[in-house]
Amino acid sequence: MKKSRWIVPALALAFAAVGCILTTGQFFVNFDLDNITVSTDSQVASEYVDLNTISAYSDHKDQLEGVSDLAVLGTIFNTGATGIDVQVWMTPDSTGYSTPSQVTTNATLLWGPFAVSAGDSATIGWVESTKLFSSTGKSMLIDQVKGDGEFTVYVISPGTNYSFDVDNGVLVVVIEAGL
Amino acid sequence: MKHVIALMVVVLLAGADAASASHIGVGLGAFGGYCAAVAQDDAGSGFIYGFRAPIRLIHLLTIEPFYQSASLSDVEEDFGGVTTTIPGYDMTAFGANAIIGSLGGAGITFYPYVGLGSYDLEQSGGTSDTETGWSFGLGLGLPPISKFTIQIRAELDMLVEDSSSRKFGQINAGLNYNFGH
Repeated sequence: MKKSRWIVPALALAFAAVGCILTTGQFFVNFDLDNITVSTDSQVASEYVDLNTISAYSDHKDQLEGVSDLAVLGTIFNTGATGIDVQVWMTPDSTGYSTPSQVTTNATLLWGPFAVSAGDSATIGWVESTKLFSSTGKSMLIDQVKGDGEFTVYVISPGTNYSFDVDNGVLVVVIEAGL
Repeated sequence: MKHVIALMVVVLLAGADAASASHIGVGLGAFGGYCAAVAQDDAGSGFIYGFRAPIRLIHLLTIEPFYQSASLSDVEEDFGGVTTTIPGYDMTAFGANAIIGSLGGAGITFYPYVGLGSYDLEQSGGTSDTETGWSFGLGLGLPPISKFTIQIRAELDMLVEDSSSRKFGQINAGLNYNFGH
């Protein structure tokens, strides 16, 4: 029996060493972008995102370790006469750009393009969405999630003549954080 | 990954040496059970199966190389009124457990164990990651019938990703055949 006394402290030490890692989990933080209408008239739809308004984020922000996955979801209806390539751009701060050229000049491409033919609709799937993030935009978004959790996103499509609706748009971030 | 392979080599060499010693027991077993994601919104649950080869080196220590595979279910989540499917993970792993105590004896035996392995997580149509994983478990060995023993285990697998981890709990039951005396 004496020989096995080392087992308990050894196990306790092992558990203590991995304790912080052991008490983490993966949690959804989803920010509703609601229904968005983008047309040639308005050209740009924007949304100021404050993740601190979401309890899953604010509850775990102090123990945030990283971001496991990202997705932009929703259903896009192309109500125009030409095909569209929907893109989401972002700025790390609160901004108010009103034209596509201002957006593409000053913001960073986050996600897209997601193609929808004229008159068609398409629902964005999880796997497809996760593959449409640009590396630069993804890095910026992760920095914001780890930072103050506030940023601005813009929805546009290249070209000068387009019209589309985004129904039930949502930005989903899977955070890794302490329990 | 490299240190897991190195550990496997050491274990296999030790096993080969152990097999030649008459007082050391070598076994082979298969198991099946259920595996569930722990504290993970984006991962599901599913059946798990695998194989293991316990090699009893000394009285209180058994080294057990293992292979296991699990197919975890999709996660259906409602985001803003739209249900989205997050494809489930296929998880495969190989490594070795260090078991403190004996897997079988005259009566019922209990034993704790710790394992180290290489875990592959592949999401259908999505990402694929290989991570080093630790496992912590408690086992129950039922009295042997001839050279067979039934093993029932509860285990937590922890796949380390930088400063966080993915965890999976599993309960499994298996049958071991003992080649030793």
